[in-house]
Amino acid sequence: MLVREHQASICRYLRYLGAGAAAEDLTQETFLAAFRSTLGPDMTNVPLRSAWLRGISRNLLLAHFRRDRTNPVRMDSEVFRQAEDVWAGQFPDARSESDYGDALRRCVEALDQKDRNMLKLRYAEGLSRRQMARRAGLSEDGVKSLLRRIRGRLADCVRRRLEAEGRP
Amino acid sequence: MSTERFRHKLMDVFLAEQFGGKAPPDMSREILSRAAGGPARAGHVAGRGGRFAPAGARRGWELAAATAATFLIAAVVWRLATLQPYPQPTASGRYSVIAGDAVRRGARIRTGSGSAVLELGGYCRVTLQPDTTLRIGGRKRAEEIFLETGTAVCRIDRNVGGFVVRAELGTVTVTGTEFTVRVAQVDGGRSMWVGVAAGRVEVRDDSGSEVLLAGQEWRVEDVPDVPSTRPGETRPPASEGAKGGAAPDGDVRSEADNDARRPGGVSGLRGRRGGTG
Repeated sequence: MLVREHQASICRYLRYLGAGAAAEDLTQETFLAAFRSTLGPDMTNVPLRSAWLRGISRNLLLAHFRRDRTNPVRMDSEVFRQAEDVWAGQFPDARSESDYGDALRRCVEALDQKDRNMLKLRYAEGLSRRQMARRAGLSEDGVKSLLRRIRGRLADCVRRRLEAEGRP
Repeated sequence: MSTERFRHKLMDVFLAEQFGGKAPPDMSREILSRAAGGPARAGHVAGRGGRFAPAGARRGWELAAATAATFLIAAVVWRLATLQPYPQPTASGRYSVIAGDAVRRGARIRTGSGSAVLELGGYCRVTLQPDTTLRIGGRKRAEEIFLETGTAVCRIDRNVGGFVVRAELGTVTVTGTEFTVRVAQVDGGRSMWVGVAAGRVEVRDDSGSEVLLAGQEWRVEDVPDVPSTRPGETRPPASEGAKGGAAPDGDVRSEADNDARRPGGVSGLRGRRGGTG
């Protein structure tokens, strides 16, 4: 139950913190550590339980960064705290994540074709800014600005949709 | 990193899921199986590297264990490939086996008018001169012959194993040298003569033991009413005359050749026993 309910969220959270390819491994380690732990929170309190699991995953990720010498630490515990604040503010409960995802999907569908193509280059094909600039006939700065504008529009759109649905 | 930046990063995660199909997979089976120590964990230990692969340190342990196992297997294979069975006694030249069905431990060997070479343990080369009879004894890395009569020129490789020549009148023990042992009938009795070409040997008879160095010789006789040999006197082995002697290369050479190879001369007779008279 604990795993089914939280695994996607923890994996997503670790990706958000920059775990990259290690996110899935660390997700598993998070739950194994949780099973071993004798100092868990009140498991009936879902937000508290979720925050506890995120705390475990953050610690595992920090340890992973410290061990991985080819991948120097990019975040320290203070930066992690800021990241946690943003995440916890955006997703106060488990449902809010799926609500956010649904709202974002609809907002993407509302974008014009050109903007959607840029997002495809970035997220589906995984191109760098330079590669995107070459493909789209833009400068790198132009790509950067365009992506920022698209994200801004999407953020506004998502916020409006969530507010309209009574979600934060 | 600003809050806005984190919000964009958060959106990046969801956009990557939507465009790149990178939705978090269902890992519940693997997690529960690993928690129970089940087969999924075995797959993880085997280094699948995917979902079951652990982070950092555990992968390091796997690599170290795999490296150690590889070295261990290589060492065993190398040892098996280089392992050779201990050589059995072999003989070449003109000889006959007079007791036993082949050249092996316990067999008696006799040379007639020709000579033969006996190889023991791969490190003892015994040249049997004509009219020599001996029995092969000993064991692995402790080779031994019992010289009944005749002359045996022995060349022993160092630091491989022991070698003993036994005769009725004495015993010669070596660990790496070249020497000659001669047992003969003389004046109605018997004599034993030992000459050392290289290294050192220990000779032992009823009266005690003595160490001979290269160039020294030793003799014991068991003959009735024979006057004692004076100390320092060099005398060729009885009844063998100019036949015997050992050269450093192990060949059987004449006494003249032998002396020419030992400019310092022999050390004289070290022992003369006998005279029951």
